[in-house]
Amino acid sequence: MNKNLLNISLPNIPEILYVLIFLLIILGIFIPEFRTIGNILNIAQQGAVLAIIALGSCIITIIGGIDLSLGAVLSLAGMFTALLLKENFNLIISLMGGIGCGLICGLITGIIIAYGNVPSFVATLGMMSMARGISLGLFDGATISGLPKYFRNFANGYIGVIPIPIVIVLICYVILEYLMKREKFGIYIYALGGNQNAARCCGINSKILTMIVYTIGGLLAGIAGIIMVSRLNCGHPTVGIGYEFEAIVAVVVGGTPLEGGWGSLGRTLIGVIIIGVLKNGLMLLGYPSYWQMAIIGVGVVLALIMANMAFIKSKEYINLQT
Amino acid sequence: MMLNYISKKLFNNKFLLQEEYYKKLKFLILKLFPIFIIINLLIILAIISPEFLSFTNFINIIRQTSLLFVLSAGMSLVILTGGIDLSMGSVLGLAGCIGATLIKSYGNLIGIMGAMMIGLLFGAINGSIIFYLKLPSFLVTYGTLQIVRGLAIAYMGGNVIWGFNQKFRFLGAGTFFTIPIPIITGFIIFLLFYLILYYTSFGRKVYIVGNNISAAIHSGINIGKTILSVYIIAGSIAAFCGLIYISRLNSAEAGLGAMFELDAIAAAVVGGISIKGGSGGIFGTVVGALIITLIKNVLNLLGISSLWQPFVIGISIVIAVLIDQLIPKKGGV
Amino acid sequence: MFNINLKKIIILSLLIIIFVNLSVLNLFAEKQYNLALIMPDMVNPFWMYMKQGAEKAAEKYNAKLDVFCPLKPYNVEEQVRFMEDLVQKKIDGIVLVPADSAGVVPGVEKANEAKVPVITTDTQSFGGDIISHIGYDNVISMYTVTKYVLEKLGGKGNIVLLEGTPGTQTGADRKKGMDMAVAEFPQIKVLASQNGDFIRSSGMAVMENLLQRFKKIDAVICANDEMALGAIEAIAAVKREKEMIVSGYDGNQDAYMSIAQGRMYVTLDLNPWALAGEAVEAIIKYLNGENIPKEIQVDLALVNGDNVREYLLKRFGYSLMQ
Repeated sequence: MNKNLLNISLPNIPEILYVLIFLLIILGIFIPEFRTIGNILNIAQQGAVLAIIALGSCIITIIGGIDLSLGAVLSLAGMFTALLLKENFNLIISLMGGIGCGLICGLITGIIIAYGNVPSFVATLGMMSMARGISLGLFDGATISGLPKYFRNFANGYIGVIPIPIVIVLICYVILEYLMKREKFGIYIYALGGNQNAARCCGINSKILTMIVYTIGGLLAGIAGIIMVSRLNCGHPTVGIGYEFEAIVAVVVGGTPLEGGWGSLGRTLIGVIIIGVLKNGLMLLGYPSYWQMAIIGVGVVLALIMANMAFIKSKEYINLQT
Repeated sequence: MMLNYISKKLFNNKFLLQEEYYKKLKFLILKLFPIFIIINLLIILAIISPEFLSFTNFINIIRQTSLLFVLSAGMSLVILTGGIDLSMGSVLGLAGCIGATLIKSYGNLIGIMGAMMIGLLFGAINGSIIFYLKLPSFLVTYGTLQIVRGLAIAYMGGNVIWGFNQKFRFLGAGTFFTIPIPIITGFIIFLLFYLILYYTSFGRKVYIVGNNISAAIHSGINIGKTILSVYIIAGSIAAFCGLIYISRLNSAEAGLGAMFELDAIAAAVVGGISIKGGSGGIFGTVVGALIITLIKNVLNLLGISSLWQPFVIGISIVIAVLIDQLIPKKGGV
Repeated sequence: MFNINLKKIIILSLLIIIFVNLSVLNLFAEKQYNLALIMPDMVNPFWMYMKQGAEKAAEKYNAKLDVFCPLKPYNVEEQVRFMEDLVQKKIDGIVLVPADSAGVVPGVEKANEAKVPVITTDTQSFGGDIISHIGYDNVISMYTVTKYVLEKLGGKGNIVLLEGTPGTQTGADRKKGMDMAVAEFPQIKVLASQNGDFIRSSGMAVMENLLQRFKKIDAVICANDEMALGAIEAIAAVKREKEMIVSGYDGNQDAYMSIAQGRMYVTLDLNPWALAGEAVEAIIKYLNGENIPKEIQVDLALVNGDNVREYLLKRFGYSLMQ
């Protein structure tokens, strides 16, 4: 496999990593509480849910699409798992239920986009409303609580010194990264994002691939939803709202261009960490929540500017090459 | 057989190939689909509740439609250029809040001007960032949505402003020979947009930019001006709606307008405005607004919890766009 | 060239801003109690009153109070995050109004582990160790208000209920109270029970629909003042004020004015200042080593046309002195 194909003009060490390290150092120096193990673990646990969603969002962005329904699907899948647990179903079945729910939502979205030719923005906007409506309407707005005690250990437990949610994130990352490096999947995805018509001419079944990508997004949302339920010890209909956008912010901050054709899961994870670190820092400094809103909004714009410039740089480079 | 006869009659017996008959018929049916939906909804509503057929209820529905239409008109303009403005709800809220405080302290005129300035300002910010920095509209306007909402919350600090004078309340709650002012406003806005879109060069430019942006650039059209104007108009419309809402509610609070943009998008899309841009008319938006209002009305009369509304609106959007895909457009995919 | 420079300038300015903020905010290092008040949202005046009460009490005891509200109203996940982060920040005590009684439990437990005392006020938490709960029973209080209205109707008539945000403890409890009271009057018919999201504009919109649906309504019972005020506007718009009475709950200034004008029939004075103020006092006393009762009741009172002027003076004279 020719590595150069994927890393055409950007350096091997992502610049965004420098930003992260710088941020960590500055915050670490000035805020003593930031440096504690407890705080680091906090950031990790709080960011795990976002990380999983962001991984899915990254792949979807690479093929040039967007999924606005991930947050709502997260809540719905979580509610489903909570419901199964409450009805005393087996743990495995409950987990499968939640993941399955996410998978089905993703599949439906994928079908609408791939075979209905509906632009991803609108299709996922519709799906978001639908999923949110179901979460609220089916259970009449109630949260599902009274879950078995052991379920909390999922999100709060450790394997060795690493929190379980982080382990899950890493497992997902490794599996996805492996898929992305395989020809039949990863390369095709980059091709699809780069130039859809050309990809189709090469015999890549774009419709099936698109469907698979959105299904993966939904599946990951399901996993994230389960972790969320475990963290809160209840199934809540509206907790996931907003995660889809934060995921896009993470993807963009990580350097993946929104037009698609290029992207890196690792950088997306760095993006997630940066967001988590920033939020944590602001919180420790005592800034009220609406400042966070404003800063994230500004951050989106800045990150887009920076990412855009990098991509324009590389695009010019490709043009020169051709 | 019957179909053949009908299509022959419709197309004046011109000699067309068999397939073309069907194509044109299909095209016509799909275009008229929204009207079919409306008729269906009206029938359902009439069956469910006899009060539906009363004059007051009719006025009610038209009023709600008008309110939704005004906001949706601004959204439609943006969508026609191939973009989207997710911040309209937040701008509505902030403009309403700031307008309210200004009205209380300095009187109606200053208040209205202040609110409109907010709309203009954020519309300009949206437009500039989208055009000059070449960033995707949904992401930029999402960022603006967050920032503006945050500003509204910080500005109000949990307070609610209450009680405006009669003169201002006329805007949202007054009537003119028993016709609520919002309906008249909606009608005026409709005329305005109709004229702008079909009778000005600006309108033509909007369609061209939406349809084929490189053709637009090569024709020498100043797309920057067009795109900027479109977002400024959307922002101003949002602010204007903010004023109407606070006039109706007789109060202003930080949460005003939350999620309104979703309904506006739904109305535009269901009414036939193509999300890809460049296709659809303002009359379609009226129809779309009516459909969305009727749907909400049906849900309400059926006693279905308002929690299910997002679900129904979501499905409507998806179905509408799916149908829109089926309509053959000039210029290929 | 130009691109790289702009990017560097952006990064640099961001970091300078952070730097400046950090250095400025680290100038305060007095020894005083660091307390935190976590509320469910920041849009309702009720919470603002609580904030005022809490801040006044904190000032009295020379304690530092930070107020935290979730960005998304009633988002329990953010509340849990606040608690996890505050524990890291080595906060001395937390005053908590849970957005969801089941969902906050993990947060409370984390605070317990770190030996940070937690006091709940207004809404209870269904788990964890709470030092004390300041409050009143939402269920019983709403029951009282509802019963008062139903008795005024002579035990029969058609009523509509305006509920609070689905998925919140407050909403669920108040609905329960309403239902309890209605059950005692078999001749009362509940025409509809709709969600008004605790805010004025929704209350107005829902009321408009209900007015359309039903030709004769005798009473509108709302889960809070904001929705009641919205409903009043809707009723006034179609000139049906004489037909029905409206009740609220909370004790907002606008509601009192409304009662004084005869537009609202009754509301409940919840005394949010005391709810928060007593909580802050209690936690400070606890930190000082005193014993505090497990439950502190706050006096509530029905406010109607007779005593509204007294309460206007009492409550809002209080806040005006700030």
